[in-house]
Amino acid sequence: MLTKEQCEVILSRCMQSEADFAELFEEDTISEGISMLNGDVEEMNRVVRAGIGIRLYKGVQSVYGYTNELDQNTIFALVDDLKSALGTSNREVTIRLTESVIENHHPIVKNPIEASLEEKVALLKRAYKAAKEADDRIVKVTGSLSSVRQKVQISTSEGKFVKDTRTRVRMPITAFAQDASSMQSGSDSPGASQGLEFFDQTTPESIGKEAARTALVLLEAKDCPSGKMPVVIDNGFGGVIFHEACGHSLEATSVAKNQSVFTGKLNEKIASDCVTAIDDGTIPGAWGSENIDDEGNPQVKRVLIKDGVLQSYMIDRLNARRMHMESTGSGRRQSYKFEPTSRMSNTYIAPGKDSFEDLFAGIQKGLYAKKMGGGSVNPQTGEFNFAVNEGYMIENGKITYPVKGASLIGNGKDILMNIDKVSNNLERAQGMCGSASGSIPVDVGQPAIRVSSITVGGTANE
Amino acid sequence: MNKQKWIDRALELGLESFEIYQSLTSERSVTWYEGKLDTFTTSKVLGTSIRGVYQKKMANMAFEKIEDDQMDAVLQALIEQAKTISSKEEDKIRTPQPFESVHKPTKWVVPDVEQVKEVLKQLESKLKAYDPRILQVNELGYQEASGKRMITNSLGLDVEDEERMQIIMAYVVAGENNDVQVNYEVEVVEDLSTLDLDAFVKKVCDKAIEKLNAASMTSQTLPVIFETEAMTSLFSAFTGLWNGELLYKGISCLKDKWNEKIFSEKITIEDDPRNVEALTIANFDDEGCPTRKKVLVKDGVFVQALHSTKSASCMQTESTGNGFKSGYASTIGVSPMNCCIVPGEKSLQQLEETMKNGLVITDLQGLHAGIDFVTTNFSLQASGYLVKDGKRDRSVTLITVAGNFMDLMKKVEQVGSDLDWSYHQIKSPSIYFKECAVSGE
Repeated sequence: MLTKEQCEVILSRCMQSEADFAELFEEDTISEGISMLNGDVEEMNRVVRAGIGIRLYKGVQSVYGYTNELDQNTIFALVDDLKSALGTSNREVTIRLTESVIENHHPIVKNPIEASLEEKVALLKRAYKAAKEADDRIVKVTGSLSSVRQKVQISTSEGKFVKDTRTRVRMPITAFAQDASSMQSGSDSPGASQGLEFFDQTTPESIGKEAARTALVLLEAKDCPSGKMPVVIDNGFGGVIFHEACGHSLEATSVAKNQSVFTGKLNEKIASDCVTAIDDGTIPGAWGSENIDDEGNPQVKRVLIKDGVLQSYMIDRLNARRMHMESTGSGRRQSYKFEPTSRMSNTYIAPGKDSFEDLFAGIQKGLYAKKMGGGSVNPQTGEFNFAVNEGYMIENGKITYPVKGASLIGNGKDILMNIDKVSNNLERAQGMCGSASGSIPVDVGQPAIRVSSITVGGTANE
Repeated sequence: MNKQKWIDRALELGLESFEIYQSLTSERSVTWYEGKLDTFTTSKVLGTSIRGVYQKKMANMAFEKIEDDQMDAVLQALIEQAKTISSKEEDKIRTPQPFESVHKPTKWVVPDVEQVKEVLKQLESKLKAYDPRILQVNELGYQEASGKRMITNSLGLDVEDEERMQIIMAYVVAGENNDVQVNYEVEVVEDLSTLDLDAFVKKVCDKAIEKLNAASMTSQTLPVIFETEAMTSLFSAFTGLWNGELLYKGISCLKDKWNEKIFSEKITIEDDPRNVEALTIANFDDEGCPTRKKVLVKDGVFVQALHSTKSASCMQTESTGNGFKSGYASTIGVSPMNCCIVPGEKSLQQLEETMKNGLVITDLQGLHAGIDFVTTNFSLQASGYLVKDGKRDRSVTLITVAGNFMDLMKKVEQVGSDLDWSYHQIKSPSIYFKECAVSGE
């Protein structure tokens, strides 16, 4: 990593221009992936990434450059290239940095990057065994263990100099079940901002069994009928509905340029009374947590919606300027190769007062979406879609049979208003979120909720 | 990095063969917003990946900073990795093979930043002035990227190539009667000074305006045309069916369908990394294996899979030159390159006239989630327009199309002629299907 003094020299050079702000983001990351097929280690890859991203602002104009050639000549050439785009000046500026030491809220017990390959392979084998032995119909199991340690150092022309280390582990397992008529797959992929100790609580066996269970259910599933109907979306990854349908539209990236259905709606009612939604980057050990965001601000808990009323957007530094508001510490990026922008961290709907059983009462025909897949949204129109990986029909208030091939589509602003019951069983689950500043780890979450009406796309001929 | 030194030391330490892959990329982009430069991004990144075979097992590592004094520690770690691999499949570093190179005739004219700004400024004005229903220009930008690829190995392979790309993109919002629709277009530009700005503006804006006042439709099964962009999205999601690695692992449903009729006889599929009509070409893959043209599906019959060295070895065949990485740091996988459904003779308009009454799907969303590759079932958010008596009728949005890809491809009525590679590496023309299930209100 560059020394504080080297950063001061580079930042001073940056500010000898028409820029009114400059930032250096340096990164040193080691990531490792071990992949397994049917209990055999198939492939392994270890990658060392190191580079620097430099950003200059002039008002709301931003210029960004990055390189992994960290010699002074290359960095100076990059700075000069950036300055020429904004306008150079001969003013003398000297930047002095003061290091702020931040408290580590996500301590690691067993560092996954330093742990032996044998130890990590043994964890994967446990997951494979549990999945394979779940049922004779499990014919294939694939899985991987990924570990990453990202060290970052952020310095700014305002004198900030701060460092953070983020360590994460994740184990995605997919089981394939086969019977005479079809092959189906089921997956589970928990992860955390923790070391290998994560697998002491979330055991590899539980991951393998969950993947196998889903695949086996799908063997029995019928095609899902289509049409508008009430839908109960279960907890955990069900929170992807809020993430896609509303979360992205609350990011300053789309709000600041009037590209979101929620622009100008602060303090207005945008959801039904039972909805309180939170984005919290501070949850200890959570997959989407960090001590600081990628602009060097301490992570915080943000209440986005309280009892249906919009309280806050998620705002990064540049969009804070555009919106004449404060940053909410939401600037995140995949790596130094991306300019940061406003992103979610761990986003969830807060628990409500209904019991899980209450959600089914009175539904004559509906869908119970137990396990959601991913989805996407267009923040401008609010239109979203996502896949249901494991679903069941609800008939006369009871769960009847499993269905496959369902997807849910709708408009974010409508769906928020149509949530009519929220239960009390909050859970979070892990995902990778792709957007303007790359692919970043996020938690989604919610208790089980009921949406009074949503369009279900299915494959059944009725 | 002294490559020869690394190769010599790798062999001394007991690696049976050893390879160094490097990529050097430079990028520059400019975006424009509300009459001003919005962002400017520039970059230069060198990535190195190494792989080696030890006791017949292949190990991989990648670096962005690597010094010769790390050599022993890195090579020892590579050997330790290889020892941990327990799968029986064999992988190999390739012996060089002679090949003839083809070249794209593209003559890139590199603009300076001022010229880019001027073009973007003009484009923004033209986009805003095109029609009162164009409310906003959300994104407007220019991007250029150049990359160099170098592969050297201990068996004497030493190849390199370079490529370049320049594009402009625009994203506009159209609105009318409380309805808002968007459209995003990308165009490859060899020479910014000869770009037909008005034609680009018309394309971007017309598509956004056409989507306006769209409504859902009732759930039904009806004749459907997947317009070229939508069909390309769907086809791209399923090109893994011909992936030798997924066939070997039994994950592709074509695993026991060799030489069987899997699709309508109207469907022929080709993969040709040397097709100079396409966006980019590769004379060799990321293992240094020469590329060639292959027919994967001939008149509906499955005749050929795509292979890397490893997948070919697992299936006792030869690599097809489709061993590609998804970035310098990734391991070698099997990927199609310049893969297409071979076009027919009728234009989209002629397909619509033949269909008479039905739905044209122009846009599919949620392809990363709404596809089950194993069963080939899909259920996707879609938009498009209805066709009535062979003519375009009202626009349709917030519907889903659902089905099974293998079944759908048996119901082809006609394949369109509109194959335009544009910025794609996988492409399909528009295809008219007998029927498909649509869910709406």
